[in-house]
Amino acid sequence: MKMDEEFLRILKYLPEKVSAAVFRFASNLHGKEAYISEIRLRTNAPVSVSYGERNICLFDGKSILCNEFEVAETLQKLCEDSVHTYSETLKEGFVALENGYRIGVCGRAGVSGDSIKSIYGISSLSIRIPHPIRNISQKIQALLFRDGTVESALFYAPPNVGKTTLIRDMASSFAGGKYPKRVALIDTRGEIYMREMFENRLVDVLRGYPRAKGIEIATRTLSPEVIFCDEIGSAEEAKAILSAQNSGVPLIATAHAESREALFRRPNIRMLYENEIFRYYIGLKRRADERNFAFDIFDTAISAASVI
Amino acid sequence: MKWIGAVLCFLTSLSLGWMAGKNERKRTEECEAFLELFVYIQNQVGYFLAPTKLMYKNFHHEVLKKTGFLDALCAHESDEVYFDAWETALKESRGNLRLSESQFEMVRSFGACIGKSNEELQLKHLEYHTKTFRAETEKQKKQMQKNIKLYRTLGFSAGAAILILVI
Repeated sequence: MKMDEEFLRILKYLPEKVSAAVFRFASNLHGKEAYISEIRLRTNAPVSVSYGERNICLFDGKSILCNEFEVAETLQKLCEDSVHTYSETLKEGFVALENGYRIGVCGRAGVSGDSIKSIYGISSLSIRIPHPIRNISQKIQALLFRDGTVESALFYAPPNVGKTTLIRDMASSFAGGKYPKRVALIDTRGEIYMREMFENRLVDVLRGYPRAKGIEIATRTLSPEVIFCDEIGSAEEAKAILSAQNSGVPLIATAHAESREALFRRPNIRMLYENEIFRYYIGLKRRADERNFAFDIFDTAISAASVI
Repeated sequence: MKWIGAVLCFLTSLSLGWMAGKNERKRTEECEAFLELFVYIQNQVGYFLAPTKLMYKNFHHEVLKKTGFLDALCAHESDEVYFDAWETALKESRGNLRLSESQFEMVRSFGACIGKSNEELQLKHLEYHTKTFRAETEKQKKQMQKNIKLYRTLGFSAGAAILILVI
């Protein structure tokens, strides 16, 4: 596996026994598409990595275990001693680091009323490793970008299929090339933007903004030619999208859903559908270790479905 | 010759007393400087949620600069793994700091809270440590006024005693 600087940097934050084991495992992965997509630390349970569709427990003669202190200290290190900076997203269960890295955080929730006040007793960390995968969206770009205009589209798939990877590549392509577009990237969880994918691109990144607010700000102040946004679905987001779409800025977004039926069962997505916000609803299918997607396209203009 | 020796002893004793007083003054200045830094950090956390690594670079204070603490703190900004920079910077500059052991421990405890918990809890911790250190600074100020007089008088008296004895 090709280990970039950022990956090696992340390894330095982990307990030594874990980083050594991950490094050994990564060094033994071969092939262009072979990469670790996730490292998971759990209190008093084996450290595991996800590779392709497999979850593998790391061994160093015996299982590698982390205690509560090591897991908590790893989080402190990953936050660079700034837990306060991430306290809002921690309540949402994640910490977004630089360059598309995201740490899922699991622990005990201190609840006040309906809202989570704090997280304590950190019990597991899921470190998601992003990979800059290029040229996987050309097939779908040809559909969405025609005659100089971009059509709005909503990509749906279950988690871990590659929605973010796809829209990252698409945003990078739209913002670069011979005729670049002004792209606004609403990167709420810090997962889409990767430095190496967006170098010399016409992209404005709204990092950490709530999606609804980000869409509103981008539309009002950045005059984008296309907006990219990950994992929409709340009522607030739906309202912001309705408002943005009335201003004529095309939106390319993603949402979690197993199928089109499941997608339209979600009331806020249903509202967007009824208001004809997206022209295309595109289902993604791909095995985690495969490069190319199969697209299940539903064109609302002609109410017809096709597969490419 | 005897006279010259006696005067030299007197002057040495006087300057020792004077230096001890100066040391006391510097300790008080360091306490005040740290107190300023504590309040600054509280604001950085409370208002801006500033990342720890970046919050010190806009703080300027001559006294802390001279001790090398601020530079040591800011130098860790580029560490590959940024962790416990306060503790490390304190250790690095301990030799230049004139704080007493208990004051040093208070400064260390303040730093140990930075960035370790969420905003609300952290602000409570920082506030507690600032309050304690403010009280310590006030105590140090009063002690300084008393001690400066004491050291100077002691230096003068000891010098004068030596002078009389020698003559």
